[in-house]
Amino acid sequence: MTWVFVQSLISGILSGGVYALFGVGITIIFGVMKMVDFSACSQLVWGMYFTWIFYAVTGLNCYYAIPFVVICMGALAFVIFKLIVRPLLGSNDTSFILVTLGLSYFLQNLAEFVFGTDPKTIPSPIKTSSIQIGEYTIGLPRFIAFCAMIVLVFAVYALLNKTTLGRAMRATAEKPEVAQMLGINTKKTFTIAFMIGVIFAGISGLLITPIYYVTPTSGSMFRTAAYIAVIIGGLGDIKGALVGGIVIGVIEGLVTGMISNDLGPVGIGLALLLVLYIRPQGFFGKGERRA
Amino acid sequence: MLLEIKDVCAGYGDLQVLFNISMHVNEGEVVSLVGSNGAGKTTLLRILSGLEPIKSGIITFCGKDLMAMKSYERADYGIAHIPQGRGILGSLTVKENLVMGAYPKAVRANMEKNIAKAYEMFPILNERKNQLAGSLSGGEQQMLAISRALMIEPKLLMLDEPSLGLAPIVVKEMFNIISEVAKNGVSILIVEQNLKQALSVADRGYVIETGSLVMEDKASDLLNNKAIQAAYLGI
Repeated sequence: MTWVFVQSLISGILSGGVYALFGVGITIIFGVMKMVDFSACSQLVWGMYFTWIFYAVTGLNCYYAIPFVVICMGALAFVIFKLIVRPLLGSNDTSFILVTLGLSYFLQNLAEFVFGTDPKTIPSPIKTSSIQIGEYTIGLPRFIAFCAMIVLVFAVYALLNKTTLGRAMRATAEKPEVAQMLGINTKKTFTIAFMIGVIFAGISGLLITPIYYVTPTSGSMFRTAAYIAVIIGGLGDIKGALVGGIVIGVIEGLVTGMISNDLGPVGIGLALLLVLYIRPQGFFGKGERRA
Repeated sequence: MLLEIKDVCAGYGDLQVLFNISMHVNEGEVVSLVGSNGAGKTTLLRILSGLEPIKSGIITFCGKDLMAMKSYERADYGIAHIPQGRGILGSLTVKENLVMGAYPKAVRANMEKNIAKAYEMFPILNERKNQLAGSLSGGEQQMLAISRALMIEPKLLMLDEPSLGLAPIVVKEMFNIISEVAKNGVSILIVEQNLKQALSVADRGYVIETGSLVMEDKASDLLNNKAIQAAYLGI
C-alpha cells in the first residue's frame, strides 16, 4: 500500500510538471493581456506534430527538435497574433473567449486535415527507459519533461524580474496606458507575451510525444486538467500555475493509482470544486474581479 | 514655442468634449490649465499623450506634428505625463518604477545618474527603493511619479491633478517641488481644479469651461481677476 502511494505520488508530481509548463504559458498570456487563451490545447497538438515532422525528416529523437519546434510555434503565434488577436485588442473578454475557442477547433481540424486521424508515434529508446530508485520507478520521459519545465519556468521568472523586457511586460500588464506614456510599445509586449505562451504550449506538446500518441485530439486531456490547474493556482500568477499543475498531477496520480484508472478526471473535478469553495481566487490569486 | 495646440476639437464618439482649443506652452514656462470637473482638461492631456485621437486641428511639439507620433514614441521626444491617480506601477518596486522611467533609449545611459538625482531630491525613495511602489503613501507616490517622469529628461512635463487625494500640507510641498523642477528649465503643463495652487506656481494660465477656453492671462492676473475669484474661489 505504501509502495502504491509513493509510486503514484512520484508519477503524479512528474506528470504535473507538464501541466505546470502548459499552465505557465496560459498564465503569461493572461498576466500580460488579461485574456485566457482557450486554443492552447490545440497549439500543444501542433507542437506534437512539429516534433513528429522533425522526426520524420531527420530520424532524431524528440529532444533535438526543441529549436525547430520553438521556431515553428513562434511563427505560428506571430501569425495568429497578427491575424486574429491584434484586431481584438481593446474589445471585451467574451469575443476573445469565442475567437480562441474557434481557433482551437480550427487548429485541431487543420491537423486532422493535414495529418489524418491515424495516431503517429515517435519511436525512441528513451520511451521505455526508466530510472530505478530503490523499489520505485521513474519513467525517463516524464523525468526529462519535469526538469525541462523547471528550467523553463525559472527562465521566464528571470525574464520577468531581471530584464528590461520583463519589467516592460509587467508594466504593460498592470497599466497599459502608463506603460505607453513611459515609451513602451505595448502591442510589441503583447506580441512577445503571446509568443512565449504559445511556445510553452508547443514545448509541452514536444515533451509528451514519448508518452502519448500524436493525434489531432491528443490535447483534449489538457483541455480540462491544465486549465483547472491554472484556476486552482490562481489565474495570472506564475507560482500559482506551477504549484497548481503539480497539485493536479498528484491528485490525478493518486486517484488513478490507488482508486481506479477511470476516476482521475473526477478527482481533479472534486479538487476544483473544493478550492473554489474554500478559496475562490486560487492559492496565489489576488481575487481580481472585473465587472 | 515648445507646444502649440491650434483649433483642436475632440470627443468620444458623438459626444464632443473639446471645442476649438488653441493654446501654447513656451520653453521653460509653467502653464496651468484650470477648470471644474468635466471641463475636458484630462481629455486634452490624454490627447497630448496619444491616448485619444482628435477630430480636427493641429498640435505641434518642437515644430513636429505631434499627432503623427505614436503614443509610445512621445516619451522619446521628451513628453512626460503624470496621469490622474499618479500612474504608479504598484506591483513593481520603487527602484523598478524609476528604471522603467528610463525606458526610452536616449536616456538609458543616464539612468544611474538620474536615479541618484531622484534619491537626492527625495531621500525617502532611497530608503524604500526595494519596497513595492503600491505600499507607498499618497505623497510618496506623487514623489515617485515626479521622479519617474524626470527620468526621461523631459522637455515638457504634464501633470494631471497633482493635488488630488493629498493632504493640504502635502499639496503645498508638491507645488514647491513643481516650482523646483521648473527652475531646472523643464516646461510644465499643469491641469488642476485647485486654482489657487495651480496658478500660484504658473507663469500663465488658461481657464476652460465645458470644453472651451474662456480666458487666458498671466497667472497672477488670473488670480486677481474678480470674475474668477467669484466663480472658482468663492471670494
